[in-house]
Amino acid sequence: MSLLLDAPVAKAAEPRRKRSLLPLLAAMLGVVGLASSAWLQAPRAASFPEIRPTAVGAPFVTVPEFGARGAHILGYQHHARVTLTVPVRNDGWLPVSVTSFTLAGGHAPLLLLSSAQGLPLSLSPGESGSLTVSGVLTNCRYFHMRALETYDGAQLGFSTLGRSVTRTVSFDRPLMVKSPMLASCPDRRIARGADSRGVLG
Amino acid sequence: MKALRRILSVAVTCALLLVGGATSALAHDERASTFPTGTGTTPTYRPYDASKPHLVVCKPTSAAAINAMTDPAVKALNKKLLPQCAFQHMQAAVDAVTAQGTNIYVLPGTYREEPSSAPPCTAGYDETAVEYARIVTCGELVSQVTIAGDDPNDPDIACDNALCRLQIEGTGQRMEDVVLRGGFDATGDFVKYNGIKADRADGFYLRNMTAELFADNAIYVHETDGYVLERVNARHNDLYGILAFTTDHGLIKDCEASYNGDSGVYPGSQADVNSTSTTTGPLSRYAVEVTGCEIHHNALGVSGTAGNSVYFHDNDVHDNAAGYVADSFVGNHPGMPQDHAWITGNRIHGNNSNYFKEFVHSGICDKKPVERGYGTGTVCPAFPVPVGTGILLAGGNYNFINANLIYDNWRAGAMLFWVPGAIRGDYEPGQQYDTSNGNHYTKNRLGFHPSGVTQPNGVDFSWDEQGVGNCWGDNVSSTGTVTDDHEVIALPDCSGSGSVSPIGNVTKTARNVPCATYDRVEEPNPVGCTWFNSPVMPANRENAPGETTPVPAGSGTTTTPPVAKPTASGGRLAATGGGLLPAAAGLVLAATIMAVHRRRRHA
Repeated sequence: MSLLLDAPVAKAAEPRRKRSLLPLLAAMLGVVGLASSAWLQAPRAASFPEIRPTAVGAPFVTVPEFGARGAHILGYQHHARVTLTVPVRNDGWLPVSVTSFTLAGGHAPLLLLSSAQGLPLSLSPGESGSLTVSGVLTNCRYFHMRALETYDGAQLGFSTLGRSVTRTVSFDRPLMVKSPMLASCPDRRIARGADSRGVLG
Repeated sequence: MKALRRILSVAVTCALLLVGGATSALAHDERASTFPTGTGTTPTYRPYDASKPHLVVCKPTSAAAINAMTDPAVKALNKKLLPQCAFQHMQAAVDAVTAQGTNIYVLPGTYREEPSSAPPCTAGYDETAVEYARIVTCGELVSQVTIAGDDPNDPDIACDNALCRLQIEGTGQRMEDVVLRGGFDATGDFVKYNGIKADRADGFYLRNMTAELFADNAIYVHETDGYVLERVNARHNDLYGILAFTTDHGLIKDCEASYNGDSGVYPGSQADVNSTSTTTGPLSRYAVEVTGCEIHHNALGVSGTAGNSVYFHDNDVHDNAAGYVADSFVGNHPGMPQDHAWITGNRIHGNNSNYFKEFVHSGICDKKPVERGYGTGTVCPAFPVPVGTGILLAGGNYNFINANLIYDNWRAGAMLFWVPGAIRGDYEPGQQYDTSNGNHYTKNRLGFHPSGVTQPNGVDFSWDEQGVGNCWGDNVSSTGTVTDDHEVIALPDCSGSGSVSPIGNVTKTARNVPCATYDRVEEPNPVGCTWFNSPVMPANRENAPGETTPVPAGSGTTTTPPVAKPTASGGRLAATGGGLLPAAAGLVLAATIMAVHRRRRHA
């Protein structure tokens, strides 16, 4: 009886494995994801310091001690056209293009903006620019004689890296518009509640 | 836009502004007005004289009321007058006056002045401001009874027609025996803004009657030089009980004013006869004297935007939300800033009624006027004040608060703060710090009930630490030491020149500012405002003999001030997460793929 040992058999060469595309796909996905994130996050990189508005066309004064941050106070003159100068600075590290400027004020603001010059305002990082915003003092009929409408900031629309967003940017001090008495508000009715802003919306 | 609105906090105020402060003291909407020349005099009472011009007004019920009278002298006069009655309405008698110095006697009864409700001249009225010329031709636009004494075609505002020196007198035993009543129309609104209005009616004298239930003012004197309101009761009005605006040589005495949504008595824009004086303290000339009045259960007991040269003495001011308020808060008020009131010899106490909570925050004041409960105690405050304050000066100068009994006001006995000029419509930079100067608080007794028991104020004095020449001296407090709320600058004593700080404590000012946004309709409970919190009863308060521990209106439970809602963090996180999601997803997916790949390689 012989012991037969199997002779070593030469190992057949394995067929060359096809190189996987998965790592490349993964890398691409990662890159795309990072790029997408960067694009989506781009507006967050934009930074605007507080805006310090000035106004002409109606009385305007700054009272630094009135309130926690002081106040800019704009005097209401019925249907006076007011021009706000609004300096804007890009404190971010991406270029931005400011495309819109709005104030709040509900359905009948005392200061009703109508146009803004200087838009779009392109600002490189660290660059400053200025908008000229026009509006009219109106709607006093919807406010009582002691009312004070306060705007704490403005809403800037801007784009960066092709992505457009809006952001609320605070004023350095609230902008207040003082509602006038009846004698300076020709269309106000003396019936309280006759012109409630609450029913406008 | 909704988010923007939220974030930008568009606030509607009143005045306060008291911010610095509001909504009111107070003020009222009126045509552009000016001071009279000041050459007039305060009229004197004219007793009955059959030979002098007089007219008599009565109601069908007058005879029975007269027969029931118990005072022989009063009854006799009424019996003498009754046969002479030729009018059923006060306005009809006013219209019949042909000579200056006429007396109109109004016999007991309730006067609704029905012909004034909707005469033809009121058709098409758009409820905007009414100029004087139109007041002459159609005073019924705003008032039940109108006394217009000036010829609108001359350039001045002086009285020059038959209505000058008119005296209207109720003939009842009590001022409540003759009632001028407004009330409500079919729609549930007030029928009239004003009860009786004396407009450019120099020498006007009103005596011994009650006026109630009007949208604005029960008794109103306007652009008039020389007038007296004596023994009048003004109550249950949406704004003011008694209002005097751009007037001089006035006397308001022995009155009662209660349950008014703004002020019981409003001497505002009084002739600025001491505007050039830098003297605080008793002066020789005042524009109006208010004395002998009981003023209670109003939002503000007394108030006056530009309440200049008001001599307010020997009155009883109690159970209002705030007792006496003078301010420089509203524009179009001649005589700004407010100056030179003399407040002395008064009892100012228990002004802790929180009508903001009881009637505004509860929604009662949102109802139609007829449904709110006017006449049964409802008060709908039109102006914000710090509930529990005895005397509030919001932007006044050279006021003299001397020798008053000020007690049981649970927030502060007296409060003083600055209001910048821009709030009253003066935008010159140099005018922004021209208020709250030269006010003196001396020899007041604080926290002492007249019976001798102790009823402390929350603090005796509250001050924003602003102004030049303000001082406090020789005041005595039941707490042993006069209490105040100073944080940096203590109350300066009057032995020196007083305060020296044109710039105040900004932190204190900032606390007041949110309250300026109060609006009974649009912003009834401003975020961050603590004025409408019911103040806590001070420790060591003792009941006066026969008194039970008071429960002021609206103090049943503690008001929790609205808290500013933090910006929704969820929203911000969502934005951040959304931005990182592609990267995270890509990296996770890439890691997964690589892991699978490695496993397959090592399999």
